Amino acid sequence: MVSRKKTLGAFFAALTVAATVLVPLSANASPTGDLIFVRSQDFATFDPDLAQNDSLFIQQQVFEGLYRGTKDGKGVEPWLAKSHTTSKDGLTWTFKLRTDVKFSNGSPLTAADVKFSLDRATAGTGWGFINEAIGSVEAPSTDTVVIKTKFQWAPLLADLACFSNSIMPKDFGGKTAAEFFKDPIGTGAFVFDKWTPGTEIKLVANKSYWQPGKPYLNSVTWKYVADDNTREFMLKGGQADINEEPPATNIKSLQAAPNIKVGIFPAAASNYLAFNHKVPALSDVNVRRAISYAVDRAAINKVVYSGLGTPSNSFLPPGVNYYDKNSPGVQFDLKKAAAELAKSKYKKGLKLELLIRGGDKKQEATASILQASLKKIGITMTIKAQEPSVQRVTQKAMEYEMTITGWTMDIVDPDQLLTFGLTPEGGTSAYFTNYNNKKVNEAIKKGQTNVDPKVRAAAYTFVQKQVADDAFMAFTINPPYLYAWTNKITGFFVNPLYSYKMEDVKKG
Amino acid sequence: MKSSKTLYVGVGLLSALVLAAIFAPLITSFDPNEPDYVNTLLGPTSQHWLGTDPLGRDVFTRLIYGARIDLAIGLLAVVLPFIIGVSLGLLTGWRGGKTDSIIMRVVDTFIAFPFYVLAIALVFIFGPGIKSIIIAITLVGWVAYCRIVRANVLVAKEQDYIHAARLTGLPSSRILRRHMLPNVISQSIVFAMSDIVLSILAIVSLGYLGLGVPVPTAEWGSMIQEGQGYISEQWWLATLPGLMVVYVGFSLSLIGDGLVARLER
Repeated sequence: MVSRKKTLGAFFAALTVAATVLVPLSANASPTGDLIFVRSQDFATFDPDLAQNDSLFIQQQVFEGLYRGTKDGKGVEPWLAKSHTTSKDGLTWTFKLRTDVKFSNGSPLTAADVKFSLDRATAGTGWGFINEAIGSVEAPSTDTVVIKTKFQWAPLLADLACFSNSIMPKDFGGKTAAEFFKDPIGTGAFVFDKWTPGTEIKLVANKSYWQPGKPYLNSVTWKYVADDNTREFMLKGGQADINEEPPATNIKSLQAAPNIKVGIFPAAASNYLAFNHKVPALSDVNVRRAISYAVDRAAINKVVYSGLGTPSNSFLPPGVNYYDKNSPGVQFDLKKAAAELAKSKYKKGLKLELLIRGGDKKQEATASILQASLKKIGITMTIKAQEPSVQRVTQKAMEYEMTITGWTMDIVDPDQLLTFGLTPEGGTSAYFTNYNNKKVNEAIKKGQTNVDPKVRAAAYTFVQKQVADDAFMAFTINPPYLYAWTNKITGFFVNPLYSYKMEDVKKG
Repeated sequence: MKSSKTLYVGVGLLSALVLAAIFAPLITSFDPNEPDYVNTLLGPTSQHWLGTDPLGRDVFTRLIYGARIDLAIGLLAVVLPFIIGVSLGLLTGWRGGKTDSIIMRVVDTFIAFPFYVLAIALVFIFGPGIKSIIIAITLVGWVAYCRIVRANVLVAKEQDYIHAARLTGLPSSRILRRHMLPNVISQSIVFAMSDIVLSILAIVSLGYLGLGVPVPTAEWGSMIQEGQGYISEQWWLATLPGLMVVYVGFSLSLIGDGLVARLER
């Protein structure tokens, strides 16, 4: 008996060892499960330079970068790069690449591919400004990439983690750009399968993916279902696995459903009320402050975001490096609003127009709330709705008085938003407001070109305080990212930079 | 007798709503557009008979004030097309020949043109609001009246009383005004009743698309749109304004039916 027990024990021990060795290997061999997303936007393009939220989540499953944002969104981790060193003057960055990475067409990743991809990203008209500091990219050997920056540039690693710096095969593997983006090749866990515009896009598992054992899923499909209620019913009825962006108003009903899980992910995102400083009344800082004080952020949060967001205190959203949670910002206070207005030339009140996107329930509700509180301090605000694409054109042409806008961070460093949203270099006249404060511009330059975190923190704290004092825009709400999925799904996670990786997700 | 009843019931139902809209401030003490963030999304209570919307506004109040906008635009949007259509119909039917060919080809063009494409294009040009809606409906709406009147004129033209009027040497303008018009207009009036419903539907549709009367003004179309997000929890937010449209449509159809019988007697 004794000997038999021992034998059995040894047998089970051996079995356990064998199992631990075997499991990862066998998992890689057969990814299982077909996952279906339902979302309110149709996919548009695989070209990262043209990407907006409608496309970039899907791109990120196919393409990867040298670095990527960490789960908490506060830093970056090496991804296709293994490590890096920086020269003493801080201008030359040398990267070592992973040597086990293959593109989905089987060819290995080399430094030449990286050079090609980064050069293309820098030349891009859409997101090229992110690489503004990059002077040159060289590939001295197959696994070494050397980047020279024009000046000391703190956000470089964060920039490399941005979707715009996705790595593709050199010269698009011999295809033209147009051909390549119709059937893209990347190093990601999934490979493009089929796109039916206006209906759905499907990706299938990359069998030769470099992370062992991943992906777990056989395929992922994103279905375009415009109606909020239909998406909710599809999820409840099991025809979909993940609902992308369920409206905040549906969250309660989703949370009550037994087979549904709701994810409320902290977001590095912010909503703003933009002022056109070319309008005489809005060039008056007291008027802008008055309106900023009159934004009832708690009401907007309650009505529009079902209380799931947080009132903003800064131009920078929380979760971004150097976000100052102590920045006072401007909070709802009708007495202060009235006092600011009394200091302006418009003591007797004034008329303003708010431009919103027609049919956008969130903007319509926000507009109604704002109109009601502005009325109390003597500002008559009319609301003008335009079809969304027209609204964007009107905003960019600066033919509006006030409008509602927002921002989602793509990189963890605040530089992307500050350059784009405040400085003349961003090419947007400070987010189409015509704001231009030399002190702010200088502080942003200082933050970019200095690698000392203390100096950067001081500069960015100053910027946050100054733009709030100038009431360059009214900072309204930091909304969360909302997702809902069935309880068959595990491992789904969205980081504060609005990025998710389907290779970690399982179904069943 | 039966037809009169239909007419009276229709007029009764519609007047009830019109009176409610006119005397809205006496019926309800709430402001239709003033938010109340404490009492949002309430169910029916003794204070808020039909509950409140996401901004805490009383739904009953908004339905009644919405009637002001929707009924007024509905009526207004029919007046101009009615006048234009009837006049052109008289002219084209009476003159015949080249005038008729030209006007009827224009009519065909307008009939072939999709209404909402035109309406949305106009909204782009003039911006959303009552003006754009009325222009859009007028541009398309006159066509139906023109065709109805023309058809009746073609028949009436050959009637003895018109021949008699012509033989006495009366000028065309007088024949058309005094002899033709009263005899050919009845069908247009009946059609106008259902046309008001179509206009209201157009206003509501544009409101639903966010291209109608700007928020926060109470209007049935934008109420349906605002309520749609809550359909799984508070279905009445979107359903009640829809039922208001049905109510108006029902009463106007009764009036139309009653008028047909009346005018044909």
